[in-house]
Order: sequence, then structure tokens, then C-alpha cells
Amino acid sequence: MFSSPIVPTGGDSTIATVSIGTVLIAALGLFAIGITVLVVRYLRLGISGVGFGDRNRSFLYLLRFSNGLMFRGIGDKERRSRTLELRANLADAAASEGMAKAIQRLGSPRRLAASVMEGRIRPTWVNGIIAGGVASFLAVLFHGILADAWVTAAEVSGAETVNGTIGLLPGATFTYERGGDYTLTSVWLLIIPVVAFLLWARPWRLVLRDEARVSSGV
Amino acid sequence: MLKGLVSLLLLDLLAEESDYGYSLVVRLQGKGFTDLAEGTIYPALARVEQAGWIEAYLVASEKGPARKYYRITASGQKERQRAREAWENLVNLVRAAADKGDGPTTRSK
Repeated sequence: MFSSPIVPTGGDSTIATVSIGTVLIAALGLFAIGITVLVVRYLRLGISGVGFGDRNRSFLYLLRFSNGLMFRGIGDKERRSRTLELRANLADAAASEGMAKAIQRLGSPRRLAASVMEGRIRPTWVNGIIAGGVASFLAVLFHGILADAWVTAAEVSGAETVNGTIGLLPGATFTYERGGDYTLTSVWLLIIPVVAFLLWARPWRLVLRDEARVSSGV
Repeated sequence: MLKGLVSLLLLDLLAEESDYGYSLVVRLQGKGFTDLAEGTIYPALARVEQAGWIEAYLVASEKGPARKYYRITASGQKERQRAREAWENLVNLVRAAADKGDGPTTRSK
């Protein structure tokens, strides 16, 4: 039995067996998905018939506008519709007065998105999902690092099995058997993503929405 | 410019003819509202649409994807009438106040 920091316990909330390799593969997968999404959006939002610089400038503007809508809780269908409408209007404006002036007359994309959303309060589910996903990834990464340290320490101890708790994560337990098999049980793998989801999704806005509808002027 | 005034201008333009975002900007500029930038007009258009005073429909475009046009609704016509009366009332009040300020100070009993 591995000694000092270990207190035998029995946890059973969430079970995850992780390794640094798995975490790295997950990180690479997320990166590849991110790049693919960006390329698809570039192809969809880029304004054709303008120079390379203007195309990039308009793409970045539309991307920031679209993200501004997304982060304020606007639905996917309406966000796409409003972004494509802005793209068409921007293309017309650029054709008559140049891209730089057309963008200048629109103002900040974040402010434009906020103005379009004025008086409309919604939970930001997409924010919540992104925050929950990131928090989940970080939680798994942190647990993976801890598990790696545990495995190393357990192997050094020479014991057949090692059971214990992790001081940094109350309620988390670790079980190691000689040969490399280990199990990390931690309710934090569930709590951290859920809390992040709730904080960023702001579901309490559902209650406030009706008040905002009544009080918003046009 | 007053927020409600931009809404009234948009309702007036769409009562004349259905149109799309940038064309409405050009028409407003043609009427002398050169300071009204797209960054003001597009959010106003969204708010007026959200209020149900105008509705959007798609028109096929030769240049690219279908374009979003707007037309005024029945409730938009009512709101236009109400906003017009409110505006004219405000103009009369301001004019009356300004006229009083210009002339000799008199007080009727």
C-alpha cells in the first residue's frame, strides 16, 4: 500500500480512465475541428469579386458579427440569416464606396451585434456548451496529470495495489494495480463542466425574458 | 437622431416600396439623411422586424444567394400612423415653444 497522502475510500460518481496520450489526441482532434469550421465559414462568408485583402477583412468582420450574435444567445437559424443578410448588404456597399468605408460605416461588429439584439435577453446555450466542453477538457487534462503522477508514485512504491484519495480534489479516489491498470473516480469530472455550463449559459435569463420583452422600446 | 424616428423613416420607405437593407440606406441618403450610417439603420430594421411591423421575404438574386427584402405589415401601417401623429404633435409643440421664445414676452390671463 502506498503510504502518506492516501486515505482508502470508496467513490462511485464518475469514472474516467485517462492518460496523457488520450488527452493529447483529444486536443489535436479539437484543433482539427476548429480549423475545419473556420475554413467552412471562410468559404461561406467570404465576399467574392473583391480583392484578397478586402475578402479577408470582410470575412473577419462578418465572423466577429456572427460570433457576437452567438454569444448573445441568438438562435443558429436567425444568426445565419442575419449574417448572410449583412454579407449581401456589405457586398453592395463595398461595390459602391469601397470595403474600408463600408466597414467603417457599420461600426464595431460587436456593437452592431449588440444593437441587433437590443432588448432581447436569452440564455446563451451555445456559450454554455462551449464553456462546458472547455471545462470538461481542462478537468480531464488536470485529472490526467494527477493520474500520471499517481501511477509514477505507485510504481515507485513497489506495492501490488494502491488505493487513496486526492487532497486537491475532495471525494476523488484512485486505485492502482501492478501492471499499469488504474482507475480514477472523481465527481469533479461532472461538477466542473456543469458549473461552467450554467455560468456561461445563464439559464435564469429564461425568467427575465418576458420582462425584457415588455420593457424594450423600438 | 431619436430611435423612434429611424423606425418611422423605415416604415415610410417600406410603405412606398418593399426593399432590402442597403437599398434602404441609399434611399435615406438620397432624402438627405447622409449621417445615418448602416450601423444605425440595420439594428433599427431588426428591431422593427422584431416588433412585427415589417416582415422579411427572400427574393432570388442573380449575383448570389437569395436576398432578404422587407415589406410593411398591417400592424406596421398602424404604427406608422401613430408615430406620424406623435411626430407631428411633437413638431407643433416645439414650434409653438420656439415661437413663444422669439416674440415679446406676453402672458394671457
